[in-house]
Amino acid sequence: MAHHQSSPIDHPEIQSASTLQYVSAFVLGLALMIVSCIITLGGGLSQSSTLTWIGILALIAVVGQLYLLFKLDLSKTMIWHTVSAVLTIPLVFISIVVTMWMFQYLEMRVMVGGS
Amino acid sequence: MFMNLQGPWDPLFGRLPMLLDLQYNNPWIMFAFALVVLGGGTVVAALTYYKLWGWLWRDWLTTVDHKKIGIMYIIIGLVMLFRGFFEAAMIRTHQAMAVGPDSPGILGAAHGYLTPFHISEIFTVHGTLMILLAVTPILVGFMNLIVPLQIGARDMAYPFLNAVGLWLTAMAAGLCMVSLFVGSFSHAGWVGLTPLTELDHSPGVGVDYWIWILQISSIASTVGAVNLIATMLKMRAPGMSLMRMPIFSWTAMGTNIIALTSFPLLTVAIALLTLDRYVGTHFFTADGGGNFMMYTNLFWLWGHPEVYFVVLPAFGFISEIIPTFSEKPLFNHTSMIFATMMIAGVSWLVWLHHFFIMGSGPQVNTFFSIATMLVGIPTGVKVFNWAFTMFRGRVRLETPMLWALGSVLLLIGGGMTGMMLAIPAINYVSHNSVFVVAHFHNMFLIIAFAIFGAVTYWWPKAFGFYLDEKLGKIFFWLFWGGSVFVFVPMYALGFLGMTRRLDYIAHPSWWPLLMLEVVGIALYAASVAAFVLQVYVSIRDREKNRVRTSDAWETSRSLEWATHCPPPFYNFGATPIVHSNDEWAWRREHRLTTLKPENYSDTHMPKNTAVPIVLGFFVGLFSIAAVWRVWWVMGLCVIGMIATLIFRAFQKDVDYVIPADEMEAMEREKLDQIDHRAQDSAQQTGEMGEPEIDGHAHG
Ligand code: HEM
Ligand SMILES: [Cu+2]
Repeated sequence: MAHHQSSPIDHPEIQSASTLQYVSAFVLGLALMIVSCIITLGGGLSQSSTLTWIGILALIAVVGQLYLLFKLDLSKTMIWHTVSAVLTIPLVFISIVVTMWMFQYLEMRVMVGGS
Repeated sequence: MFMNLQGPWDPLFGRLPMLLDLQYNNPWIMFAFALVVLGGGTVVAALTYYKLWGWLWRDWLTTVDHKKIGIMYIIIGLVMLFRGFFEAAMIRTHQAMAVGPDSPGILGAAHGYLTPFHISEIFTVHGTLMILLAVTPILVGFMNLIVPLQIGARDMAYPFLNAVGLWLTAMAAGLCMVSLFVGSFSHAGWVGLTPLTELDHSPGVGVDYWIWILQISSIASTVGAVNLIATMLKMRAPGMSLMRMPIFSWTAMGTNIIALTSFPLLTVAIALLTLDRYVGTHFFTADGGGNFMMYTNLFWLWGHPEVYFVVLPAFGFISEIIPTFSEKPLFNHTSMIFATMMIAGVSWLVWLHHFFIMGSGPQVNTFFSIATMLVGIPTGVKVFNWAFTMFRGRVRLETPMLWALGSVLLLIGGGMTGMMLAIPAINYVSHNSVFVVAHFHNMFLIIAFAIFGAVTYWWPKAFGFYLDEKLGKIFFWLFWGGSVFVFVPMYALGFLGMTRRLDYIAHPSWWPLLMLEVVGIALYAASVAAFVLQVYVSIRDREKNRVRTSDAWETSRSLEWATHCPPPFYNFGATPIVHSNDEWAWRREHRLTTLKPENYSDTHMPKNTAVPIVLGFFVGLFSIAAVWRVWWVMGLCVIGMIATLIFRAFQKDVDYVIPADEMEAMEREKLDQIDHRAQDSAQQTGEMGEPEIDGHAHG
């Protein structure tokens, strides 16, 4: 409890900053963006497999950013941040996927012509 | 600008010129105005007369002390509860008057005394403020006040952020008060039915008031949740593992996880609605590609977690009060923790039960119906745990215990009707009837009962003297009577088919039941008087009712009872070491009730700061400017907020250290006082013999 007036620079979160990781986060983001751009513009794939591939690339990008930029790992400093991030996954699933499921039925049943 | 506004707008004053042609006036508003001016004026005059402004500023308005912040939260909540009660009384009396075609109408109303628009405003503001500005601040206040004490911390993890949350909440409450006198309030229900809340259908400023109240208080709740969770994860006293954390703190944990994950949803939903109203987007409009069902979906994605957000701390109160007054440990601490976290988890899976009738069909409805009923399992676990705690206990029916028992009894009615509503087939006939209104008031009454129990229970801890028992019991029985008389007839009316939010009752045969509800309201009014009298008498006789030891009820169990009443600003003379999940009871058993530690050490404390209240001022002004669409004031306020935060970032002198010897001197003085008071019943300092309650309290 008695850790006194420490300079913000000494905080472990800040101490863990690393140029290499930030740059690689940037490069990773850029690279994935370019790849998905090519996939989309190339038009070689069917619509559904384009979506799948973009989705996979986006997932890699998100995980990469969480690890490289936000430093979400299992160290003592970051463990609770990581836990919170992981706990949001079911919530995102519930709120978005279940909502989509619900609206799909709703549309089918109440919109003219259904869909 | 941006939108086609009905009525005048100019760049300098925004929509304020609307006020020049007064639309609607009512003696009730004058009455409320007189009441506010009188009440506020008395306070201001008293502060000036006794030269207390400096004290108020130094000791309260700029404080970062979690106990004072908690108390201020609770005061805001109680004041708003008082206002909400007036609205309830108006709705009940109006409806009882406006029955049948021959019923009289006064003050511009065809029937009763409130015009349809006015009563819509009243039930909207009643719901909004009772949930977000009364119950929520009171519960957040208690969590602020008690959690750091229960876990043996010197303050919250982020004392500054704590004060920011308080002032944001105060601004939301202030905005609600302003809306009473300047302009109008939303008429679209506390849930903000879309597309009724869109600018086309509600061109006035009312919905904007409602929007900014929700927005500000939702941000306040989010930052408060961050703070409480961090406090509980990081600042527990040595020896207190998570499973040893007292049960109220655990419910606070569950509640704040709910808050942290669900309030941002409200922020987003309201922000989208704000964009619709202010810049003309089409998120929730009926045309232009909007989807107003999506608003309902998003609102309840927050809304149902919110109802568990308010009930969990109430369960926490009950779980602290019942063991103390049964003189037994809480039955199965661990299962209580799991039940709490299960309720928090399930709270996320049930939101659709608020719109079963929207038509998403049997598959979806079945899923949500079952999910909703699942919550009965952990809740049942809780009820049985409470029952088993009392079983073979030495039950004492002091006032806090009465409130707790009343609360558990109410849970039966509220829970059963919830289960009924969770069955889609029943819901199709009862949705939007007053049966639903009775259900959720029944549920909120559980919370209100638990709150008054908590007020009585922790009052001696917070202030060092007891609340008057006799008036407390009168208050309890009047409040109980009011609850029965208002809500039993309301359930019946629901079965008879009375829909909610009516301004005129077409069915004369409902009149007797409506009159019974008025009787209930009269009992409530009497109970409010009893409460005010109770507080007054208790403060007047405070010397006579001083708490003698740190353990006001003599059989309390958790760590907050291991420091003085009231706790000093540093909470504990030395960081306590924890041995059990009922630490204070454990110490009593082991004759370790002395408040004198082996040695004192330097203690690191946060310093007071005016930054939060200044920030609050800018936020408050911003929201008023936003309601009236005075863009330049909004801009200035944003600049002000950013400047204030930059100023804070460069403030270096934000904390200080109490040296060990100074701490020892302050503690000695307090211990001497206790010795003094405890002369005839020596038990506290431990140096004067064994504690007298030791014999029958066992762990
Ligand atoms: C925990 C405390 C609870 C609180 C504070 C609470 C509060 C509320 C509120 C405020 C509403 C109505 C909102 C509105 O339309 O304005 C409501 C409706 C409802 N509640 Fe509860 N509730 C609680 C517990 C439960 C439980 C345990 C169940 C079922 C197991 C339940 C089932 C329902 C259902 C199905 C509705 C929708 C009724 C309808 O609109 O047709 N509630 N509740
Ligand atoms: Cu619900």
